[in-house]
Amino acid sequence: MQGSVDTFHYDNRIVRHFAVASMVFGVVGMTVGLLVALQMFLPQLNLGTPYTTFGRIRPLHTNAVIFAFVGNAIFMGIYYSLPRLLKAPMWSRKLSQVHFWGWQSIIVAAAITLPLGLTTSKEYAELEWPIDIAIAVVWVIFGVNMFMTILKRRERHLYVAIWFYIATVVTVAVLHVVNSFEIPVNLFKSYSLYAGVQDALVQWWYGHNAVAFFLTTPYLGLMYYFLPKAAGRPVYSYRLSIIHFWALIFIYIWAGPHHLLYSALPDWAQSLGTVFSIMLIAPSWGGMLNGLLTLRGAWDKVREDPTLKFMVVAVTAYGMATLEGPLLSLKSVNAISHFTDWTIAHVHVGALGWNGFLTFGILYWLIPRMYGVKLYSTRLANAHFWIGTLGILFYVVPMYWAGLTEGLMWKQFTPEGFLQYPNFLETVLQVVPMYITRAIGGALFLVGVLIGAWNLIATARSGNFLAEEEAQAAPLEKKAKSSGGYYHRWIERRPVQFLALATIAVLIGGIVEMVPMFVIKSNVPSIANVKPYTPLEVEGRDIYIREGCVSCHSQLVRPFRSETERYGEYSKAGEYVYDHPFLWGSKRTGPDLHRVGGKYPDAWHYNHMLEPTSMSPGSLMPPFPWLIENELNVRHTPARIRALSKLGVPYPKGYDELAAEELRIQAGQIATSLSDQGIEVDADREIIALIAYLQRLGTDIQTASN
Amino acid sequence: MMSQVMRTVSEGLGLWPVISLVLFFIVFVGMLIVVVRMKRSHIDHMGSLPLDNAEPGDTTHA
Repeated sequence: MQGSVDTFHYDNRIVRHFAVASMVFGVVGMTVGLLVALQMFLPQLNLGTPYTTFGRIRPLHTNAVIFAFVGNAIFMGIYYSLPRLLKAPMWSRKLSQVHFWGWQSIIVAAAITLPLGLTTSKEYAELEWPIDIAIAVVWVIFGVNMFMTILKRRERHLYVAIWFYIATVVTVAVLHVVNSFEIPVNLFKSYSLYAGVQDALVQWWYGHNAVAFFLTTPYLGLMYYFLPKAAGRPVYSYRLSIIHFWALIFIYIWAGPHHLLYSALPDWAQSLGTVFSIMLIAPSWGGMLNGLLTLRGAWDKVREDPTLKFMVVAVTAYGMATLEGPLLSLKSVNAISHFTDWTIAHVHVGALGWNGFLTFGILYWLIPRMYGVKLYSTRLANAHFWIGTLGILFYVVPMYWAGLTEGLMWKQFTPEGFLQYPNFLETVLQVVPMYITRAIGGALFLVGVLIGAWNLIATARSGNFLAEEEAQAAPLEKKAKSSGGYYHRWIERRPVQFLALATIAVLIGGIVEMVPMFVIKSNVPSIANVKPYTPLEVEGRDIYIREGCVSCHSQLVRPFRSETERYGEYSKAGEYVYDHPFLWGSKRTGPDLHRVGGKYPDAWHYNHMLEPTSMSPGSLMPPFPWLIENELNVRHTPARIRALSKLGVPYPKGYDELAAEELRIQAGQIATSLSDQGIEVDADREIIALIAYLQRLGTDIQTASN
Repeated sequence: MMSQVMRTVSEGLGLWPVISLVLFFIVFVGMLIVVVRMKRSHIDHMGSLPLDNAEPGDTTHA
């Protein structure tokens, strides 16, 4: 041991790169968020262009906030803490740079393609296949750099934060790859490998665990590093942190089906999701308490230090969101909360409180240290804290209220047994005041962020950036003698074994859920009358996907009397077997559309798309006039049919050749029907395809009963 | 071959819940045993890891 001490340098530049990117994209993502919040009650703010219409920019908001704001903040925190915990600089500065610029290019690609309507429509996995591949490549580069750093470390034991980082890298890779299996139609369009119920299961296994392993585990790693740093004392219980880690990664992965309660997913899978969600309370609260108790005896610091203030609210929000999540997984609660704004409230407790505030807490700690100065203004940081906290409250409280209102109004019957609010629009207009208050809350939060950004810039300006931070540590002895030999120590010292164990823990849940779902036929009972979509309907469905209709309209009638009264027969698993991807949705700002086929005449849909308020006075839906102006692009119709055939949709052999002709005939029929109803429109317009799709929706089983 | 694998898997699915339960039990009991048997000195060492580095630019904290 004695004698040889290595001197090396930590690279602060890459940390600053990611910090700046996180703040810039944070402001952008939240501004887009504010715009979509305003569009919820001022439809004219859709600005009359396809590129700024809600359905297309809502995913822009979610992607920007999750992958750009939070993503860059994760990398900022990891590139700072990992080398210091390992007493070794990052293995390759070149790979760090490639990671940074690669990730930013992906964000830019997302910002361009999503407004263009290039989307898979699967939530938080909207980006099309070439970008998916880029994400996988950049992620692997990050993983390699991280893992090589771990192998070259000078501290034998891996601190718990690093386990969370490792679990993040491995699991996000698995989730991303499995959920992104798709067959390309062309460079910008692909169909999910899975269909209907199976696609839903895979998507929500992904969606749920994206929250778990992108928004939670890396942030827990950051919490376990930066909270003790800021408080100047070790974590309350290191034992508890070990339990927190293993229990969390083992249980989280099973809980995905709680997003699909009362859906056409088999009951056993739904129950599995509920049970594991309830179990999640234990590790989540263990982690929250571990974080808060780290501050025992240091609460006087919390009063003065803005970093700690932000962190305390962040950890509290983590606790609140992780208690609420399991409660929402109870079927009786979910019956009311699902498809309502309650979900929006829930995710924003996590996003604004947990991710947002922990990020700001870390930034207020990190930037002054990297510049060797005090924070420019503690008062401004406190102002940011209070405005941000108020913003969160103004955001979530009205959304909880709105969610409950919607859930209860949808289910309200009169004493005679009829729906009290049969017109869906009534339940939407009821919550408009809450939407307005929510936008105010969002605006407040954004103002706080801008104040924070200014404070951090002023801090940086008043100091000198320490790009290279010198450190010294003794290299690891080649062969350390085992002192004790307890198993966990064994794992803590062997990252490769640790990686393998964590991967196994994560894979078990996914395999247990998915394999039976894919191999047991009875899980998706087939319905003889359910037939593949016609070429025109396929085109219409892809327009539905492009315009992001799924953002506001579900296609899943749940088996409640309140829903079968309102929409019609509840949805069966067998009806979705040709749906690549599934389009069940997760939010009803408008009514469910699974039984909309045949409900209205073609002319109604035409007028409704041109100007929604003409058919539903007071409607908050944006108009889609370009569907009437745009000629339907049929160049890719044969490719679409071929791709679907490859996925097992039983089109006859050589059908792709006939598709164009069949499409033309069906379009002509719809144009004629519209003409009969007094509307003259060319048969080659996009609106015709969309009407064909909407009129087909959910009608196959009606033919069965006839 | 794939279909054969799938058939074997689906025939064995009766065991699925049992296997999951056993795995679950082993993971949690194992974890608890390991945690309970950890030495105090080791825990103190692990807990202090983030605090090892003094921040050179650390002027904001006393």
